Amino acid sequence: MKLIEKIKNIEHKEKYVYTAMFFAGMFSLSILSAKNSLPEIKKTATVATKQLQQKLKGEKVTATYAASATEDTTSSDDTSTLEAIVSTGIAHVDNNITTSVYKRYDWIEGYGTVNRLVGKKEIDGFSYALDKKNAYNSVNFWVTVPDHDYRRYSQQLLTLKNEVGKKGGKLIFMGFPNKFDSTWDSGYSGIPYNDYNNQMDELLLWNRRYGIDSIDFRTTLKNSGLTWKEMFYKTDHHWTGKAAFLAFKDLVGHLNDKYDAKLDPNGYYRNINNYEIKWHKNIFLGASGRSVGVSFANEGLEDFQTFKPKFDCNITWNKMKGNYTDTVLIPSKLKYDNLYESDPYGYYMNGVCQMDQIINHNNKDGLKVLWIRDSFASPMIVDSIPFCSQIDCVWGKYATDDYVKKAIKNTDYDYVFVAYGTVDLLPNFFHFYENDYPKKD
Amino acid sequence: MVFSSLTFLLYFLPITILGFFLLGFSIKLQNIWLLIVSLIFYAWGEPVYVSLLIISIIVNYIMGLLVDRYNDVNQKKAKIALTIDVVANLSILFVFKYMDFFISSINGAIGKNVIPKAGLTLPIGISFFTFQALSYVVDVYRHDANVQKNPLDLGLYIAFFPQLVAGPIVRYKTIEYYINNRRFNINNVTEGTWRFSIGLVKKILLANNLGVVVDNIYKLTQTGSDMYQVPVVMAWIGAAGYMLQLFFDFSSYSDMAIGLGKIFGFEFDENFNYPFISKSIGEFWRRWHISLGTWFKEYVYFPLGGSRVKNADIMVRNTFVVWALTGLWHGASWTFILWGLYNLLFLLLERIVDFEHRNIPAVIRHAYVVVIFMLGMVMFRAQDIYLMREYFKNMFMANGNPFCSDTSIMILREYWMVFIPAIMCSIPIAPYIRKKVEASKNVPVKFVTKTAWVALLCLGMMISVSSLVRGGYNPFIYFNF
Repeated sequence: MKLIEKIKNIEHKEKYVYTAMFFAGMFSLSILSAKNSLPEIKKTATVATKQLQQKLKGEKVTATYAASATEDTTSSDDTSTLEAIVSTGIAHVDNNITTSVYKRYDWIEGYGTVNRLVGKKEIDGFSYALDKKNAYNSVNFWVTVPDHDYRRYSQQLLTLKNEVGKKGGKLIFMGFPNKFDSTWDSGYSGIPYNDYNNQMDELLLWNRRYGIDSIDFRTTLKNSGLTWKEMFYKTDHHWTGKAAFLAFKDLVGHLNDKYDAKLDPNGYYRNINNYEIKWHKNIFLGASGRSVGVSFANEGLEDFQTFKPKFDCNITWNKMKGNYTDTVLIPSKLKYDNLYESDPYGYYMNGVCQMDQIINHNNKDGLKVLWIRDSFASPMIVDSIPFCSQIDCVWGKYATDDYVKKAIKNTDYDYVFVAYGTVDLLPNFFHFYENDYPKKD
Repeated sequence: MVFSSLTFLLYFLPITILGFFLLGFSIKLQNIWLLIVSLIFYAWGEPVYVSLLIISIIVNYIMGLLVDRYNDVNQKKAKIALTIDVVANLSILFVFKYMDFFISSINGAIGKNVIPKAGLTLPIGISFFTFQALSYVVDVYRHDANVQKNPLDLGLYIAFFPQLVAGPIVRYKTIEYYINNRRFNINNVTEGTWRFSIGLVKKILLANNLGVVVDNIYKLTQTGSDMYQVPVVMAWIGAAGYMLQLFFDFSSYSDMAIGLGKIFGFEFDENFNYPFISKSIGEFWRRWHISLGTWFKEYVYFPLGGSRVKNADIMVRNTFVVWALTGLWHGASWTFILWGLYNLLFLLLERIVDFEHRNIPAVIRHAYVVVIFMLGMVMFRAQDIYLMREYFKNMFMANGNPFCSDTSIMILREYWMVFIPAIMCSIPIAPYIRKKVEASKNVPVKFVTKTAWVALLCLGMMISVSSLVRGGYNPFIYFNF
C-alpha cells in the first residue's frame, strides 16, 4: 500500500502529530539542558560520594554543598545517616536539574506571562501578588493570624538591654517600614499582602511597656514627603538608599537628643548634599522580580538608586581595606551577565552577610556598635561609619544566644541596635536570651 | 521520583524509552531493562526502602512457586504457603503503616504512653505494591493466573514504574500476556503519549493549583476559630476544591500510568470513569478508583460471601468489613475509618430503599452524590478529629464565623480559571465532543477540531513545563497511601 494510502487510513492522525512533537520536544529539551545539568550533577555526585565515604569511615562529615558565607545555611543538609546523605544528594540532583533547564528564565517568564494574561494578581501559590501600582508584594495568609509572642520578644530585648547596660551601653530597637502600608498602598481586595504593621505596632507597644528605647522609621518615611517611588522599589522589598538616609538622620538626632551623643555637631554627615545620589536606569530586577520574572507585572526593569558619600573613609570590612567603594559599597553589583542572578541591592554591604565587622581607621575613638539586623539596615550602617571606630553586624537569624552573650562579653559596646523590618519579627530572629528573659507583667 | 518532575520528563523517561526501543529485538532484555529502571525510579524516592520492594518481590515469587507446586497435589501445604504469603504481605503493611496508629490508640485508651512508637516512615506506594503482589499469589492459588517462574518477570509485574506507587492496582492475569507477548504498535505509542500528556496537564494545571487553595484553607482552619475565622463560603470552596484536587491528582496519575504502560506495550484497566456523573453513591464507587474497589470485591467481599448470602445481616457485615478496610487502607487514622463507615452508611441506605431504581430526577441524584462525596472528603482530608470538627463547624456557620469575606471572593476571582475547567473536565464533555467530531462527515470541522485539540494539548504541556521549571507546588496525595 502506498504511503499516502497508509496515512489516509490512520485513525486519529492528530495523535501521531502530537506524539512526534512530544518526543521531539522532550528529547531536544533534554539534550540541550544536559549541557548545563551534567557538570552540576557531577559536582553533586562528588560531594555525596565524599560524604558517604566519610560516614562509612566513621569520620566527621565535612564535605558540603554550601557555596558562600552569604548563603543561608541555617537549613544545613542532614548528614546524620547514610540514608539522609543519599536522600540529600538526590534532592540536590533534582534541584540541579530544575535550575539548569535550557532557557530556564524564558520558561519562568512564560509562566508569568500566562498568569498575567488570565488576569491573575497573585502568583506561585500566594507567594507574591501585585498591588494596584503593579508592584510585587510578598503575600501570606498568616498575616492576620496572631501567632507570635511579641511580649516575649520585648522581654528578651529587656534582658539584652540590661546586659548591655551593665557595661554602660545602650540598647535601641529600630523598626523598618513595611513596603506594603495602607498609607501609601492600595492592594486588590482580599489578597493577604505582607502587611505586618500591626505586628510591629504590638512589639513597639510592649517595648514602651518595658522601657525599651525604640525608633519607628515608618513614621520617618510617612513624614518625609518622599514619593513612593523614591522610597521603595516595585520588584524588591527593600527601601532606597535615600529613604535609609532619612532614617539615619533620625537615628543620629535621636542619639543626640536622648543620650547627648554629640554626633555630627555641624550636621555635615546629615547633609544630603554631601552624598551622591544616582539613578541607574533600567538595571534593576529586585528579589521578588527575580523570583517571579519581569513579565508578570509587564513593567520592565526598574531604575536603581545608589547613595554614596562624597567624602572618603579608611576602613576595613571583612578583610577588605580602603574607601567606601573599595569595601562596603560594591559597584560591581550593578553590572551582571545574568539578570536573574543579579543583586544590585548588594551594592550596600553585599545585602546582608551572616556576620560583618567594620573597623574605621579614621576614628579610633569613635563608637563601638553592635547591629543585630536584617538587610534593611545595610545602607544605614554605611551612613553611620564616620561616627564609629568599630561596627559589628550580625544577621538576626544568626544572632544566637551564644553569639550575643559572647559579643557583649568581649566588647564594651556603646550601642546595641536591634534593627528589623516588620516581616522579620519572627522566632528565628529572636534567639538571644530566648530561655532567660525576665517574665515581667 | 514523580511523573510531574523535570527529572522524570527530561532524563528518566527519555533514557527509559530510548533503552526500551533499542532493545526492541528482545522482549526478555526489554523486561530486564524495564525492571532495572523501575527499581531506580523507586529508589530515587526511597533509597532504603527499595530493599523492601525487592524483598516483597522475592517473598511473593517464592510463595507463588510453592503455592503452584502444592496446588491440587497437597492442598493443605498450598494453603499454608498462601497463608504465609498473606501474613507476610500484611505484616509489612502493618509494621510500616499501621503499627504506630495502633500503639497511639492503645496508649490513648490507657491514658499514658506505655508502648513507645516505632517512628518508621511510610514507604511510598506500599499499599499499592503490597496489594498487587498479594493478589498474584492468591490468583495462583485460585488457578486464576499461571505461576510466573521467571523472578525478573514477576519483579516487573510488581515493580513496573508506571503503576508502582499510585496504581492502578493491576491483577497479574491482566498483565501476564503483555510480559512476554508484546508487539510494537505505533498506535499504542501515540495513544499512550496522548493519554500521558493529558494526565500531566490535568495534574499540574488543575490538581496542583487546587491544592494551593485547599491547603491554605485547611491550614487556616487548623489554627482554630479564635485565631482566624474561616467564613462559610471559604470552607465550601475548600471542600469543593479538595474533592476536585483529589480527583485530578489521582485520576491524572492513573492517566499517566495507563499512558506510559501503553507506550511500553502494556494495557492497564481504567481506574476512573467520570465518577461525578454518578446518580448514586453505589454507582460512584463503581467509577472511582475502580482497581481498588475491584481488589476488595475479589479478595475480601466475595470470599466472605458477598451479597449472595442467606442472611441480610451477613451481607451488611461483609460490606462493613470492606468499607472499614477501605478506609483503613487509605490511612492510619480514625478520620479515614470514619470516612469508610460514612460511605458504608449511604451504600446501605441506598440498598435498603432501592435508591438506584427509584424515580428521582437526575439533577437531584447528581447533587446528592456530589454533596455526600464532598462532605466525605472533608473527613478524608482532615488529619484528625479536631480539624474535621472545626471544618464542618465552619461549613455550617457553627463557629461564630462570618458567611463570606473579601479573601473568599478573592480566591474565586484568582482561581476561577482553575475551578471552571476542573468542573468541565470532571464530566464527559470531551469524550462527547470527540464522539460527535469522529461521527461527523464534515472534513473542515473535523480538521479544525482536531487541530485545536493538538494545539490545546501542546499549550497545556508548555505551561505545565514552565510551571515545573518555576518550581511551584507539586504534591502527590496518593503517595501517602
